[in-house]
Amino acid sequence: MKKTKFVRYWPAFILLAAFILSFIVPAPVINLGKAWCLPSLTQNPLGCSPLGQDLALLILSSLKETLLIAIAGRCFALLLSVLGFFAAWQGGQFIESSLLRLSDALLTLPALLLALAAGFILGSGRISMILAIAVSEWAVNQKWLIGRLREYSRATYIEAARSGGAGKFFIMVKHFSPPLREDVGLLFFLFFPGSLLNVTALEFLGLTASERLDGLGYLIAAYRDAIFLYPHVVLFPAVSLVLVILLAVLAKDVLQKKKYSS
Amino acid sequence: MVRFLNKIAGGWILLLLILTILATGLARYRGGSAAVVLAGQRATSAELLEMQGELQQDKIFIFELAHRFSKIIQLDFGETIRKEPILPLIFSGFQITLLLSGIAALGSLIYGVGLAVLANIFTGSKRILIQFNYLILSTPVFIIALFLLVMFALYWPLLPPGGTQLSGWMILPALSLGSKTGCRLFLFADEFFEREYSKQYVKTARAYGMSRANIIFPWTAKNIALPVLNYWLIDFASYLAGAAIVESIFSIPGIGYLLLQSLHQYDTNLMLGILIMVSLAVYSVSIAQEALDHWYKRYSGK
Repeated sequence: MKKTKFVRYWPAFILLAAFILSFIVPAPVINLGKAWCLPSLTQNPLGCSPLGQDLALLILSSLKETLLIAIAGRCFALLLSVLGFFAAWQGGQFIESSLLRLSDALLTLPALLLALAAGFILGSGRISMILAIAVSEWAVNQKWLIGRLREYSRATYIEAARSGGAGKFFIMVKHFSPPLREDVGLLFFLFFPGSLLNVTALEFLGLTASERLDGLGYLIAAYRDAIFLYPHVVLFPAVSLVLVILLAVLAKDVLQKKKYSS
Repeated sequence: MVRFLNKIAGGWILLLLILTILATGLARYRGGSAAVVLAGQRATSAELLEMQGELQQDKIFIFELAHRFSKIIQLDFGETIRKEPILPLIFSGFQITLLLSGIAALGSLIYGVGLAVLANIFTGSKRILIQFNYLILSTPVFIIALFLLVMFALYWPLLPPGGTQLSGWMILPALSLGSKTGCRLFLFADEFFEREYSKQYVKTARAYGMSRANIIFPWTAKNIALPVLNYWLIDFASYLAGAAIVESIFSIPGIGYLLLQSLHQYDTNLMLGILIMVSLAVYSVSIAQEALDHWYKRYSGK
């Protein structure tokens, strides 16, 4: 019984394995003698980059960068939203409606455009990419969590706790934290594929994490002109990116089904 | 009504304030600056100071913010760093992007709903279609655009690779832009069809021996029309976001291309104008969607 329970989370496990693997494998080494080399079973299974780096290693190191930014961006956005949730509970109606109004206003701007503008203001770099993703995704998380706050605070057990004399802080810690943990976990996976798409789009449009090591979107943008002569340098990163996003979508679906079936 | 208008106006002013802070921040704290773009990399510090004065970047932050905000409230976006008036520039870009988005939206509606109807009549291929649409949904827009560009403009030169001069220029960009929305619409419509099939009226009709096609057209399609239309309108923002990527790949001078240009040149006035107009467009569509929903509920007595 337990085995089947874990088997259905296979997309999340593969994604996690790829993320861990990207930290374990060595960084791709520049070897100009092997520039543009074609895929071969014996030496470089996916071929080489224009700088002679092994493409498989390059894809893994770029994947690390992309996943790292997407995960950190989502975590940061969720952290801000949870802080907003607690502030709305402690501060009452005024803070709650202000946060809702702010998130409504931000939601009128497409997340990618907002991230693009925020990213360019903050400049290139890992931190600025993370902040740009967090800023663009905060609004939707906040709106969701405030909706949940309204649901929680109307629950009978909360009303009972309040009439029993429990303070706001006590209710927040004792009664809101357990269901909130579950909601935050679901929210993380629910919008994770979207974050990945936004991160790669930002990388593709030139907002890169660092000058030395870049994400998959940047890899595709940088080598796209070579697509006719050396299709493998674009094809393999593109396929890996699609697979990673597909795994994230499948993991999201499994969690969503589990949540709504229960 | 007054409350509704107050909510809209309040949201708008807040958004304008956020965008103004964003743009003024860009002008002030970004590593490069519009003055460097205009004066060139080899400009002396005196020339840079003069250029900054011309661009009004030598003011105190809060005064600059107040000055900019007072102008933005009157929808006066001013000029670009190259002294071109911004509003006509945005309107010309918007025309192209809206044309592209319109074609993409129409195409995605036809694809999504049409495929969902077909998949629910001929149920044999439904699973494969769902998997295929998941795959497209997981593919970033820029990969779809690059794939279409390579296949249909370079490998088989059937369609123009970019620009807006040649006839049929909008086919590949609109396909790239609408592909993901079409897939989302298909999955959404299919889910609604499934929900409708579990209802009693469908079970009764099936028990009387009616075919799926005969159930879909008078009844099921009518029931899912509004949710699908609502979803289609809600997704409008994704066209404008995708436009930034698609227009940069196909070199189309639309609003997305203009936005990227403004960001690369630190042209904060232009960036601000574009973001405000985009948000205005999304806001208008969401109000239209709300009104449609409201009208339908009154009409159907729900």
